[in-house]
Amino acid sequence: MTGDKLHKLGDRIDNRYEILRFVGEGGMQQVYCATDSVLTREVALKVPKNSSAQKRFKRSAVVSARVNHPNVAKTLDYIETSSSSYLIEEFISGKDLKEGLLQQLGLIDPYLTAKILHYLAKGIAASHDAGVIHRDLKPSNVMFVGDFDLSEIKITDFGIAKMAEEEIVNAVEGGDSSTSASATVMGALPYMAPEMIQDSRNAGKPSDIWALGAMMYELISGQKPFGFGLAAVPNILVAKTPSKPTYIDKNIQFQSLGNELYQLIIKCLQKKSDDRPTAQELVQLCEKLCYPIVKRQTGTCGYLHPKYNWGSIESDDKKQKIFFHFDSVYGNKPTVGSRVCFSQFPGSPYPRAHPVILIQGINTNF
Amino acid sequence: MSSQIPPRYIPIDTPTAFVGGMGKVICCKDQNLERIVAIKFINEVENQRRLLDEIAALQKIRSKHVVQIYDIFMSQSDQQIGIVQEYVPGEDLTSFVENNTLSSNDYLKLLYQISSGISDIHFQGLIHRDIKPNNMKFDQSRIIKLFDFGLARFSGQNDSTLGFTGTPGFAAPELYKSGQVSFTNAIDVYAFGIIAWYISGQHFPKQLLRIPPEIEQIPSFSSFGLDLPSAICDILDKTLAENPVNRPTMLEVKNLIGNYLLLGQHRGLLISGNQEYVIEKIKQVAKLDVPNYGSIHIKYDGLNFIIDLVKGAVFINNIPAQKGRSLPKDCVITLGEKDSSRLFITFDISNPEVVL
Repeated sequence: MTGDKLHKLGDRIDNRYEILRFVGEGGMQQVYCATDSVLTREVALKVPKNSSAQKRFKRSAVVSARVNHPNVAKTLDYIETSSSSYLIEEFISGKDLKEGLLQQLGLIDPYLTAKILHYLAKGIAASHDAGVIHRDLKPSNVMFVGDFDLSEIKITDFGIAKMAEEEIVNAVEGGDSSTSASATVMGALPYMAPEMIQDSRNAGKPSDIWALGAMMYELISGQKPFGFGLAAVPNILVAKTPSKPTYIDKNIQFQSLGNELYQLIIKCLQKKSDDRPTAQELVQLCEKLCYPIVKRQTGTCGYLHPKYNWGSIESDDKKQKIFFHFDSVYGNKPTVGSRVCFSQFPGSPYPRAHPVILIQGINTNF
Repeated sequence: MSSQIPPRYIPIDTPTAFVGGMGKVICCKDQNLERIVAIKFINEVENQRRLLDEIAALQKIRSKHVVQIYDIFMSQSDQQIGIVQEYVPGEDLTSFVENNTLSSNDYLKLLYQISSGISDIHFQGLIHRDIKPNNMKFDQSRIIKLFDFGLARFSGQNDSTLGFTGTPGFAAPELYKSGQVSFTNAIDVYAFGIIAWYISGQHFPKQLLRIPPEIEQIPSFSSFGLDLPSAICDILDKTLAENPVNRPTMLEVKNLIGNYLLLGQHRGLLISGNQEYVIEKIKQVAKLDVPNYGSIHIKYDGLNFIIDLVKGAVFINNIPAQKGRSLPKDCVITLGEKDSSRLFITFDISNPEVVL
């Protein structure tokens, strides 16, 4: 649901920021991309939608500005004008994990999942060290740059998390499903820790760890760990252990890392918040994982051997023929014509793709 | 006071304006974001556009070891630019070195932090230009932070005195050449090498203080009593190479020091056909002997995973494997002749990080 825009293109705020375009909105705020005329850079400009949000805004800005980490979108400034207050954040020209990754790939191989987990754990650890809790971690709040390579991964919206929490309290207590708040709540629910569902004022650092575990489960399995929408609530409240993603044990290439990741995810999804690792502990656990960081590319499956477990891919960039073995595929096997995402290693007579995952296009299960 | 500070910044304590290489500095409370900031002023800015571009680039650095630049403001006349920075209380490296004796592990950790900060600056395509011990401070968590980027050069006032030569003793030899001086980020690498001398507790060679410095005659880092690994001594010696192209990059220095600080903490995972091998103990050897295909033995020496034995046709990322070489991170090993049936083995290394 889109309300009236608070600003139009070309509006100049505080004689410094010029609105370039509308980016999106949540229940409490609108987000614009603006030019900072002093430092000639693009910034994300966040505007509260009403006066109750205004009050929270400054607090959020003060707190989130303390965090300085490559995996957290930087809060740059907070200003008040005669008409409103504004939070200025680093603008990330990329996609979020939900639209850019989950809806494209459906599920993600353990290698890339490990990288994402490691980076997010580092960002959350830096935030927790600064005393900042996110409270609303979900795939749409994680931005990345650089296609499936994920050359940069940044958590956004630390600034408004506290407000999202209020919105959730209102919605849970009011039970009104027709307001714009319901979209926020429905989006947040699958990642919400049991203590937050009981009373969102219970949100603490361990609630962020839970949300991280829930997101990682979704990446590696393609499924939400406790189900979708309100149906997830009873499962979350008893912290029903989500089942092991079936693809993890299907071939040896992914088994070791996949099982280690699953164990880490289970640790994050412990009902008692004290039983979950801290973000710092999680970072140390991630440091032990052996995962490769090799450039990802895309291509089309061009051939499958009629008898043996291999085929070939034509890469998008160089139109090069690349060999792949079924042992390197995580998730569903491609068929001729399937779009795939893969990393490439030198080989003879053809380079070798490993790992290979299917690009499913827009997955409407979200 | 002549400087016009925006009303959001309230000077704290007595506004102890002091004059450094960059001009006046005052500490203020930023009321909008409720934090203490250090505001530095640059007077008579000559090339404002370039200064702003450089500040915008400095702002993109998200480093644990580089002081954050928050914002800038201009006085109405545009004669003066105020740079709003993170305020770091605490002692600088000069007084730290005077009051402490470093173990070889402390020494390496300190060099690791400084090289991390410099390589984070270089990663943004920037050169610090004034690396010296009084431009580094420890914060409350004893983490070292670099500040005072060479922005002073944008001020006409200082150009004649400072020029591009920076601080004598820390300035690389190429900066003393006559005529148009062109230089690269290797000047920061040289200054880092001087810092490595300075904090070592060794007697500082006079030759390095000459103008220009006389590098050929200085002793190697291996002559120090710190008992440093020889690979570290080699790379530190190279930071002071006369020719800038012979100096290592700051990232190479950081990675090598980091690797020694992580001795024995790496983990390697080999997956072949239906078997997997984990290598995580120093001197542990994984032996892959496959009849009709070939053999490769891989040994962990605490730093790298070294090829200990090769028999038959063994390729690492399609290049013939050689005994004694270390395996690159994230590679594929194949056993068997090209264009025949081959065995495919993946090898991945964990990503440990230095704990400071």
